[in-house]
Amino acid sequence: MKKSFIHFDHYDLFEISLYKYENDELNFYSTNLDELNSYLNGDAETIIFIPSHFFGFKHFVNSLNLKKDILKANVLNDIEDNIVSDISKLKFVYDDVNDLSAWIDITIINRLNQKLNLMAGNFIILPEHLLHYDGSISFLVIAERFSASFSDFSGFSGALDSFDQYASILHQSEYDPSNFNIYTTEPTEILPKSIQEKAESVEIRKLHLNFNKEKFINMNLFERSVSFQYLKSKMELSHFDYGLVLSSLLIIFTLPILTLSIQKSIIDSYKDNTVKIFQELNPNFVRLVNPRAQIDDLTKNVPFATQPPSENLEFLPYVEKLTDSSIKKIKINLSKKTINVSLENLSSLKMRALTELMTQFSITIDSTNLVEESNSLSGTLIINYDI
Amino acid sequence: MIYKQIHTFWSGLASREQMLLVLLIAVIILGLSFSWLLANSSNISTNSKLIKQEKANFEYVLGKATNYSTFLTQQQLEVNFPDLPSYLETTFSKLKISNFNLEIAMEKNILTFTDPSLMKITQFLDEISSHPSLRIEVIDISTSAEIYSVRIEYTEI
Repeated sequence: MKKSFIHFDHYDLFEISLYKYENDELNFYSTNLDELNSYLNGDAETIIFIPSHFFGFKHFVNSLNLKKDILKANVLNDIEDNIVSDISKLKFVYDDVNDLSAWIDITIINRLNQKLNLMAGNFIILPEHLLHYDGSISFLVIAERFSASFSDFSGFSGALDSFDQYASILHQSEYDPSNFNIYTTEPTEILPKSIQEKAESVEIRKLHLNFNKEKFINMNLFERSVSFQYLKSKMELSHFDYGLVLSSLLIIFTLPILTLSIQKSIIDSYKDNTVKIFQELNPNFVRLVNPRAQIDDLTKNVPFATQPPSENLEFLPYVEKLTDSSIKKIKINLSKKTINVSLENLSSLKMRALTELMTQFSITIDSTNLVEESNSLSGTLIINYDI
Repeated sequence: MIYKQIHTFWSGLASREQMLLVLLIAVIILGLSFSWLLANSSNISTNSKLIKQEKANFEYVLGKATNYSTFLTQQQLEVNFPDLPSYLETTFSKLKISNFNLEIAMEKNILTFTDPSLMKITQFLDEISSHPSLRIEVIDISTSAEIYSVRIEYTEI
């Protein structure tokens, strides 16, 4: 199992503590958002906790099943404080399972999403107090701040110095301080004296491994937008792969041009050679318009001339080269268009070479009258060139 | 300057508008690439047909021209060498074949000669068969000690 958790070290939301779990083995890194990509595996899941004071929360039962902007307007309309001046500048989410609405300054979440969108992994952005939600009021001390979680899933966070002040506000709001669960990942000595005794040390690893993300998945503020950078990181292409893709594109776009150019040169070559033939017949020939009509016109009074019968004997020298001393007699019958070659002791290898070579001419070879004796052939080879 | 203007324009767009613009540009690029490839594919197909047509034209012209050329050669040979034996002798001397014999035996015109090269023999056959008054019937080539003995039976037309 590959899973990572991120907590921000400061309120600038840049420096981070990265807890990376791989097969239950924890690796801790202190880094920042710009360097994060070099620590993450492409397909791993990363849960990012934003300190809860960046959020506003409201328990809201959506009995009317309101959608998107109407729901947002209804929830934010009820907020008594006037912090919200322009609701379009807020990123709003509603968790219909836990009846919790939450909102955050859109610039914060956009900046974060923008950076995360350059990376290939799966991200979940949640308010930090959900990590230690236990159904009652609980506090977690982490990175010199406290995080408060309430039974209605709302939460808050603040600097550790201000804990006592915050606790007294809670007390005035009819919350019973004796019912608070206080967990700490930091040494108890750095906690305010008021809670040093009550605080219970907890391993962050235990909180991470017990965290049920499915319960809060509707609160996820990460929005994947498909960008070139994202696709690039998702594909995890090596330099070789990039070379391959670029070469393929180059081939796809240059091949048609190359093909057209070759075709044009072939067409021109045929035309040029046709013109040359005309010029040999008639040196004053100038323009090729309709080659068939023009040659018909030029040769209209010329009768069909019988071609020399020996014209088809151009393969004879090759027979000589391959059979050399084995040839005893060659009988060419021009009327039957057959050649009988009497052979003595022609090696099988030469016979195979001869048969192979003769395939380029329009002839057939009949070797049935050859007799094989101790790896050499003797008898009559019949070549038929009337095909 | 232009980059700055583009950047300002781009920053002024909402994320949905940016996505739409990216999609629009991608569709335009893909569309142009596709239509370019399609147009080229059509041109390649047209050119393939044109090559076939030009090749057929070339072969037709070549066939007719060869016939024309053969006809002219035959006419010239007939004019220059009305006597067939003198033509044969000229051809022998042209190809430097010295050991030849012309005879008539059993009402057949027979031409015999020897030469060590089948290439030259083929060339000789080519030359003499161009004469319109000569028709070769049978060619016998036998070999001994790397010398080919050729016997040609022919008729005078």
